[in-house]
Amino acid sequence: MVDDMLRAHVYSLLAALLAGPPCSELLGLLGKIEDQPVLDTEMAQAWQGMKKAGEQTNVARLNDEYHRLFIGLGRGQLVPYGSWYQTGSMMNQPLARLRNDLAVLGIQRRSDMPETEDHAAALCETMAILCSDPEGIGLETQKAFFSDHLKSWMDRFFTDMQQASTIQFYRAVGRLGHTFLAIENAYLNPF
Amino acid sequence: MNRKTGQNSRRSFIRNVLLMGGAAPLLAGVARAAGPGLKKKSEGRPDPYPSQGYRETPHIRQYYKKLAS
Repeated sequence: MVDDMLRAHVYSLLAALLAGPPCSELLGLLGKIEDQPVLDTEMAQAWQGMKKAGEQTNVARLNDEYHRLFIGLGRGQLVPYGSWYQTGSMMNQPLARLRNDLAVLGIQRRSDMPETEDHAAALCETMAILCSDPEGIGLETQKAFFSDHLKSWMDRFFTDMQQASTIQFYRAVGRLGHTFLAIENAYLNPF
Repeated sequence: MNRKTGQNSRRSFIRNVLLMGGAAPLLAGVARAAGPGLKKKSEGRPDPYPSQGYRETPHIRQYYKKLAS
């Protein structure tokens, strides 16, 4: 379904932006966003914000910013893990529940992936897989996974990102994530 | 409105919303640029070069099993 593939692509983009410092190829992709004369929706403003932010930075600067935000000395300004946001500690019950649900869905972490499955990038990637699964994982399953593992904390994470970042780029990523999650929430929970 | 019609109109709504702001060319290129860290089990192949990073040992697996129960 083409429309669900669009959702999958937005999740994939967020996953790529959160998994590591953006590469030049990814920055080049952001430059493909077309200029718009009228920005009358939150989503349109978020996309144009990403385009502008991508134009005003470079790979080296983003590498520094990514490490300052997410890694730091000992700990970054933001801790991008579901367990942390939900319980205040790493690798806690939310991760255990997530691993159970991933096993049921037949999804597992690649052996060369150092982050745990509750990393924000991994969860966005999981949603991308669920939205684009050719075997047809239904909206009810997507809704359940979103409600159980993203809804309670990821919006706070994107809001924190808009406030914590010292450069425009990650503020724009935070805004895109915040706006997209609100649309997803409305889409998956219409009534 | 029946269930299927409702889902189709929601899909059409979200397509319009996501493509606002000139994002279509970007989203068309995203699938090629984003590398997956997760996989469906059916895609699995034996890993000839196991990672030296975080590993789930039997002890850790047991710990999570206990937490989840």
